[in-house]
Amino acid sequence: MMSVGILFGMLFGIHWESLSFHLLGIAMLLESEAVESFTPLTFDYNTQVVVVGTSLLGFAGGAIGVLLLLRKRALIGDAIAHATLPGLALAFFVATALQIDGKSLWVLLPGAAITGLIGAMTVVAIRTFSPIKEDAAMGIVLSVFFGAGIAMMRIIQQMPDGYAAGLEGFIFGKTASMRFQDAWLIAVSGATIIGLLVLFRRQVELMCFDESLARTQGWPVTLVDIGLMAATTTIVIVGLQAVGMILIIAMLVIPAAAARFWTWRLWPTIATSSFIGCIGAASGAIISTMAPRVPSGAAIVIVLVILFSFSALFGRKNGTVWRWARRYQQRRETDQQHLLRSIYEWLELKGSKPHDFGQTRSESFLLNDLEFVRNWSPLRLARTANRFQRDGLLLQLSQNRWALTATGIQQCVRAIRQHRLLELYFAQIANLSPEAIDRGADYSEHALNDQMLAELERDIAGASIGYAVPDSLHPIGNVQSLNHQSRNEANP
Amino acid sequence: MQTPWITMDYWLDGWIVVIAILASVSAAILGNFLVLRRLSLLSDAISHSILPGLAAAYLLTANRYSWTALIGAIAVGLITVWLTELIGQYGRVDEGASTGIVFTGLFALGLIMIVQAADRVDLDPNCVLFGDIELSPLDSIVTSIGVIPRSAIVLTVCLLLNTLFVVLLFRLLRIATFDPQLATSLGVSPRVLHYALATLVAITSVCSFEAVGNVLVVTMFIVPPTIAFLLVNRLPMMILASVGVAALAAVVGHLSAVAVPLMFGYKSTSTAAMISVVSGIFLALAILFNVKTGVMVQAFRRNQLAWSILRQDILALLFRDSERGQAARSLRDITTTLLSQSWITAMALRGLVWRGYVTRVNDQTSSQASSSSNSTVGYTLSNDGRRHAQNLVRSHRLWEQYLATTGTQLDRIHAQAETLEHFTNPALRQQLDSETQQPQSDPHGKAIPPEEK
Amino acid sequence: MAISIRAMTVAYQRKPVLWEVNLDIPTGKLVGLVGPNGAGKSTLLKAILGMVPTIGGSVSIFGLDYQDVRSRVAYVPQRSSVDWDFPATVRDVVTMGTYGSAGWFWPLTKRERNRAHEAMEQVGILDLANRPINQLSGGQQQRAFLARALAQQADLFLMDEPFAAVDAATERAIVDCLRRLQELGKTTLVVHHDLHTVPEYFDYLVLLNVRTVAVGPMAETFTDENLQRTYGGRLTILDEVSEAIRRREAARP
Repeated sequence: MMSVGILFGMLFGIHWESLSFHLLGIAMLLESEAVESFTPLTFDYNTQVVVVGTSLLGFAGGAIGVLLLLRKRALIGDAIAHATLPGLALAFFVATALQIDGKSLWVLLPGAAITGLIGAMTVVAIRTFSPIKEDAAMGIVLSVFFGAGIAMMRIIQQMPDGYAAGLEGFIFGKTASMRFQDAWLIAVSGATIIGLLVLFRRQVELMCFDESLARTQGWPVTLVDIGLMAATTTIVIVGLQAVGMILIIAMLVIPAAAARFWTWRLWPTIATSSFIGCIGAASGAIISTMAPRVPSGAAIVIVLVILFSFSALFGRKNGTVWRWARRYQQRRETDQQHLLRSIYEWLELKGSKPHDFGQTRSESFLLNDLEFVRNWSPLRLARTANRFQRDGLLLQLSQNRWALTATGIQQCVRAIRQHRLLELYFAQIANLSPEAIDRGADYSEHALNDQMLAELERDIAGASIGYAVPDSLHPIGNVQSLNHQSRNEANP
Repeated sequence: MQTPWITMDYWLDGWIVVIAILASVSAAILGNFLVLRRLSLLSDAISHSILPGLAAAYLLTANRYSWTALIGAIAVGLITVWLTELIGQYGRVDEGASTGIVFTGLFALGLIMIVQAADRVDLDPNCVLFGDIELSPLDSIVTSIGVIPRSAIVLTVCLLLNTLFVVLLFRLLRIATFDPQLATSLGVSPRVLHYALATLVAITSVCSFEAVGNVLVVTMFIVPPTIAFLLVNRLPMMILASVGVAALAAVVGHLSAVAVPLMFGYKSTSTAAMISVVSGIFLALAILFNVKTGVMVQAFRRNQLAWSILRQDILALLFRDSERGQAARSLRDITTTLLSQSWITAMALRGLVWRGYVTRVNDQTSSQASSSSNSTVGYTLSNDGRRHAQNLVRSHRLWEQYLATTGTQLDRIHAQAETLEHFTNPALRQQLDSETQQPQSDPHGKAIPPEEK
Repeated sequence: MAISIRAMTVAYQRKPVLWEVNLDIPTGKLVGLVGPNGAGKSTLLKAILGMVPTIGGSVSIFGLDYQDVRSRVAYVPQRSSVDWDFPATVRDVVTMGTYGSAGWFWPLTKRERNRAHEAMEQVGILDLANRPINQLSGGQQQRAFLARALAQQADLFLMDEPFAAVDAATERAIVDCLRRLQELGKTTLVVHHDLHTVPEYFDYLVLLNVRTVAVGPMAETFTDENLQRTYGGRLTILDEVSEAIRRREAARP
């Protein structure tokens, strides 16, 4: 556990200097320390084995899951998992016929692997040789193979020593039956997969990014794809005991999808996904040992779903909370600009437009007069105005009478100047009719920076404009008449 | 040692078959639209994720059949669709992945709830997966027309509901499935239909849950419609065909569940599982042998074409021989001239003899006797064969002439004409003839024979 | 006016696809809608039909809201937008055009079947009527789509790239069909790619590149200067603005 963490940290930390990676390395060390130093006090030896084994499984599953997700093959893992059931049953039949112990993992897992791979190949074959689409092919393989498995299991249950075969344990997962060599098996398989991934990182990267480029450059895309399928099958097989065939797909899909909320780059995604898979699997295993009636697969999936939800809410990239915060911020900024402009336009209309120099306070105005230039509700106007007062842009003189402060005048002039310059640009260069201009300018001015403003000045008015505010191109107050036309009024 | 014997209890087995047919047909009707809209995995997702809804209902009412169970399942089914859309939209993952997240999460939740409920309700987690159709006739109620299993009644209602949905909204479904954009422009929201379909999938999954469980119901949703898709060309026919296939699979499935294990000395196995296996076998047959796109059918057709080309090549060869005044040719001669293999040529010749185009003659009449010491038979054209061959050679030479007039190099026209001659009908020959001004000979100077009826 | 669009803006992820589009198309014109890739041509058609959310602006068709004139508008989507493995015959597809007027529940009457029949006749695919659509060539598929639109018996036709990757015979058939529609007084708006055939096929032109660059009768509008502005025109500030929006959002957490 610890060594894998260090190895991973060393391999990737140097190449891809990403913060999340170092964090990952540290977190992994901490976690493995926790397992190794604290568990003897609380957990018995068998539990330790289970926890270490499942967390390794989560680690490798998370890594492979990202690749499956990027290849848009996430659910092939589900088809493979269900297709292992007839393999388990057949292996048991064959072993019993040959008078070998049919419950040995060394008999059952190869059987599961064979039908699992056959299932994956059947999906590909159906897609290639018939007009059946991929989703149907996966559903078919998944349910038909599973049906065959169930039919055989029912017969096994009738065999004299079959009832105790414990093959049902593979369906929902039964960590209690996990032994030391099982954890060892998972560790070896996981390490092999991670090692191969590191070895073929370039091929994998190119294949996930641009398959056609990879093909034209002569990369063996099909071979890498087959490798990916083999790795997926391996994860599924070694995970059968811990998670069970119904829910093993969660270990491939959920960590990978959760990682997408934290980073957009390939290797950090793989690292984050492995980390999430590791934590989820370990905690799920611990829960299921403490509450023995809870199937371990279900416990792991529930923890993974919680981690996913957390990522979807708070993930740095596109997390819901951040998205909402951003939208709120945008709306605030837009509102601010709109109100400042409205004040200017109203004062201009009254013949007392504020000046950027010398004036410490603008002429006063009634807040509800602004409704004439911008059809906002009185509540929204009042709320924005109150915020401006806190920010020192507006001054409340009496109940309904307000004035701009010096800072307010400055901001106000800047906002209106930007807006009108852009209007001029659209009218002169982008060839739009004047009545359409206002909304176009509305839409984009909030993204103008100083350099672009300077370019606009140069392009439109040359030096003649100086720092003055250009006159409006359209009669002020017609915003309302434009607005009532639009059916789908939505604030961008 | 007891002799295995198929024993049927007509009441029990009869109801098992009826329940199986009802469940299969209900699912297959909806499945057509799932398969065509590429939503096959939606059935997998919904049939898994209804589990917490069911479990909640069990916990509340301690009863397997209740309106609570139905409402719970529908609610969770719709939540599945909604969450899947949401995750796909904001998580930038494809539909498969977002489906995988939602249904595993909900299924896991349901499992934990069932374990908690197990004290109060008799529910085996394994039954969740493959149901217990063998026991469902035992839970029956007495009605005025006799004792009827509860599942049969529930599934009949479900079947009626699905049939009504598909029949009444057939046009809406067809247009929204084929061309969602046109449907939108006509004021039909494909999204609303999507949710309606999801609701019915949830209802069907719940109703057939006890009988077939939630994995095997996926077979019933997907496989019969897929078989129908391979067999027929129109949507109404596809729906009818899927219903037929579903019913057939149910009957054969139950029979084989009883019969197959007996062959190995065991008692019967799960009917639901065997329906799944039988459907899979039907599908494999359909993929291999359907008339439209069947793998074997296409291989057979390619084979047929290759044989017919070889036969025509032999005829043309013998015709050219007769032009040079050579009477017959031996098998070995034909084989080496056409660069073929001896047994293949022999087969083709046998076909020609059978059709009466070629006759076998004794070696003495063959002028090629010296070249083949051990073959004592030669082949020559019959009158029928001559007419056939003459048209072939005519096609060949007309093509050569035509290609020469289009400016193709002379050394390449023979090879091209060699391919084209096999795909030339009388009408095309007529056209070639007039395009090249009824030539008497081809560019190599050989006479173009007249058309034979 | 067949179509009037005022100040329509459509944006995907804050990147503008259509920006303040103003457009008036007189009734009875055969209109080509031309512009470079990514100019928002298909989006404009979808926005007219209310199939994509607009940020602002209004559309009226024959002076009314689209919802009220739906039966008078026929839309021909891009051929690639549907799955041609769908189990249906050509007749089935063409008959779909009559669903809007036939209602969704009652059986089709002889009138609707006749309309489908006539539509197939007009585009010359009557002999393919019972052929499964997965056996059609690209051109035949396009003609089936056209026949479906004709069967709608609309007054306004919106066609998304009907000439994309079709054979010469189909192109001819479509053009003839468009001419006939014009003679009947119908209005047709066609997204088109091939600048060479524009002046020949259409009599009215819309040049679009995110905004409308020029709109008018073919002779006045199809000029070097307008094409230059559509294809090579300067959109630098607009590009910079959308780039700046994108950068700013990427920089935020």
